[in-house]
Amino acid sequence: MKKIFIIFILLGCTSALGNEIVTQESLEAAFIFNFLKFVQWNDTRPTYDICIPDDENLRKVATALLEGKALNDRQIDVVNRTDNCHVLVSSTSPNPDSTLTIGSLDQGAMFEFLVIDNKLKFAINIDNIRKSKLKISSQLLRLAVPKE
Amino acid sequence: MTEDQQAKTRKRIILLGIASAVIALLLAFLTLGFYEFYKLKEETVNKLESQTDMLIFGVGPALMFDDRDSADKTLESLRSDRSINRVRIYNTKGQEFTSFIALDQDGDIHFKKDIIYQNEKIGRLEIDARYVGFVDRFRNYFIIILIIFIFSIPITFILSAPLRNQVSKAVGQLSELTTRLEQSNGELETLLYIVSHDLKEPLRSIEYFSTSVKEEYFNKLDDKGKDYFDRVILAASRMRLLLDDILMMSRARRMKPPDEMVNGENIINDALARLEGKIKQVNARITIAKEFPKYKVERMWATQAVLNLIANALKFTNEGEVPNIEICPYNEKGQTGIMVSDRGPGVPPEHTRKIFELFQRAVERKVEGTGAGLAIVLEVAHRHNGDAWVQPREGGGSEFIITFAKA
Repeated sequence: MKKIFIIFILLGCTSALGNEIVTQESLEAAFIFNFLKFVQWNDTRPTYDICIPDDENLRKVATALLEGKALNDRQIDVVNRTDNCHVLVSSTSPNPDSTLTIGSLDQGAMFEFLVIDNKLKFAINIDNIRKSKLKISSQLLRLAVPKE
Repeated sequence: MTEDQQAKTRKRIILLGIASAVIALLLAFLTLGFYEFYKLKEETVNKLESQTDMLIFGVGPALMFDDRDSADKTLESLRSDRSINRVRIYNTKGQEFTSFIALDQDGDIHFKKDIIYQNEKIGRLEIDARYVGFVDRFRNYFIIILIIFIFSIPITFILSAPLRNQVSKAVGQLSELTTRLEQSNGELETLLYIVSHDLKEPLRSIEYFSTSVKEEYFNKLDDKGKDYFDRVILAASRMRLLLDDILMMSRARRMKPPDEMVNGENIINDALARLEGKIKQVNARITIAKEFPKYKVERMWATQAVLNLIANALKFTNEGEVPNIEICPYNEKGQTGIMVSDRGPGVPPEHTRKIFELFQRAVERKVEGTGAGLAIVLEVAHRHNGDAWVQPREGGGSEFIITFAKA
C-alpha cells in the first residue's frame, strides 16, 4: 500500500490507480511523468511523445498510467517508436539532440534508472545532457545519484 | 539669597541637566529598542518568507521523486540559522514526509505554505521560528548610549555654566525680592490691623460722646448746628463700618487653611440665620436647592462669604420689587462652589471685576454699604484656591458665584 501511495504522490495525486499492484515499471512511469515537469523542449507540438520501443511491460504500464494525462496543456502520448520523441526509453537507440533519453549512461543515455536499497533512483550523464538542446532544471539534476 | 543658596540652585540646575540628559537618552534607548525589535520582526518574517520559497524550490522536487535524503540535505542547510526551530514537510495526504528539528518547541513565528509545482499542490511546508539577535543589537545601542551619556555630562556641565550662573543669580534676586515683598506685605497687614483696631477706640469715644451730646444738649443747638451734629454722628458711624470691614479683610487674609469638610446646607443655613432680621425686613423670597455637596472650607469664612453674597442680593433690587433670591450649588468647568442668583438690576459688564475690589462700588451712596463685602468674598475664595465672579442671569439679574478648591 505504501508503494501505491508513493505512486499516487509521484503522479501528483491525479492518478486513478485504484488497487493496482505497484511494480518497478509503474514507478518508472511516474518518474518519467515528473521528468516532464523539469525539462523544456523547443517544439510546440500538442503532445508529449514518450517513446518506449524496447520494454513492452513499461510501455503498457506507462500507457495505463499516463496516456491521456495533460501537462502544460499538452496531452501525454505513450508510443512505440524511436523518432520524434520527447522522451525515449531505450538502451540501444540513437541519441537525438532534442530528446530526453533514458537508458544506460554507458550507451550514451542522459538518464538511467537505478534501484538502490529497494528504492528507485536515477543517475545522469551530465556531458550527454550538455550536448543536447534540452533545458533541464537543476532542481531535477541535483536529485540524481552517482552511478557506482 | 546667600552664597549657600546660590550654590544649591546651581547644583539643582546641574542635576536637572543630567536628569534631562538621562531621560532623553533613556527615551532614545527605548525608542531605538522598540524600533529594532519591530525591524527584527519584519526582517525575520521577510527572511522566513524568502527561506520558505527557497526550501520549497529545493524540497519540492525531492518530494515529487520521494527522495527523502535529498530533502533532508536541503533542510540540513538550515542548521546554521539560529532562528529556525523546526521545519516539517507534509505530503498531500497531510502525512509528514520529512522534518528538520533544531529546537522542538513552538517559536514566535509559525509559517505554513503549500508546495505547488506546475499549478499542482504536492505538499505543505511548516516552519517554526524565533526572533534571535535582538540582545546583540540592543547591546550595541546600550554601549552607544552609554558612551553618549558619559560624554554628554561634562559637555552639559561646561555648556550650561553661563546659564547656571545667570539663572542662580536671577533666582537669587527673585527670592530676595519675594522675601522683601512678603516682609513688606506682612508689615502692611500688621499696620492695617493695628491701625484699624486702634482707631476703633477713639472712634467709639467720638460716637459715645456725640450721642451723649445729642441726648443732653441737642435742643440747645440751632438747626444748622443740629444738621452739622447729625453729620458728625453719621460720619462716625460710617467710619466704624469702614474700620470693621478693613479689620474683617485683614483677618480674612490671615485665615488658616481650610481643613474640614462642611455640608453646603450648613453654610447656607448659618448665613441665612445671621441675615434673618434683614430678610424679614425686606420680605425677601429665597429659594434654596435641595441638595448641596460637602466643601473643604474654613467654615466661618465660607459662611461669611456666602452671607456677603446673600446680603448683596438683598440690597440690590429693582424699584418696587422684593428681593427674589435663589441659592444653589455651582458645579461647572471642573469647579465646585455656591451660586447666589438675584433678579436685581444686574451689573454692567465694565464693573464685573471692579465690584470685587476693596471699597469699589458700582452704585451711588444711596445703597448702604462700604464696598468691602464682595472684596472679602473674593479674598475668601482665593484663600480656598477658588474664585469669585458675577455673570448675567438669564431673564434678568445677576449670578454671584464663589468656588472652592475640590477636596
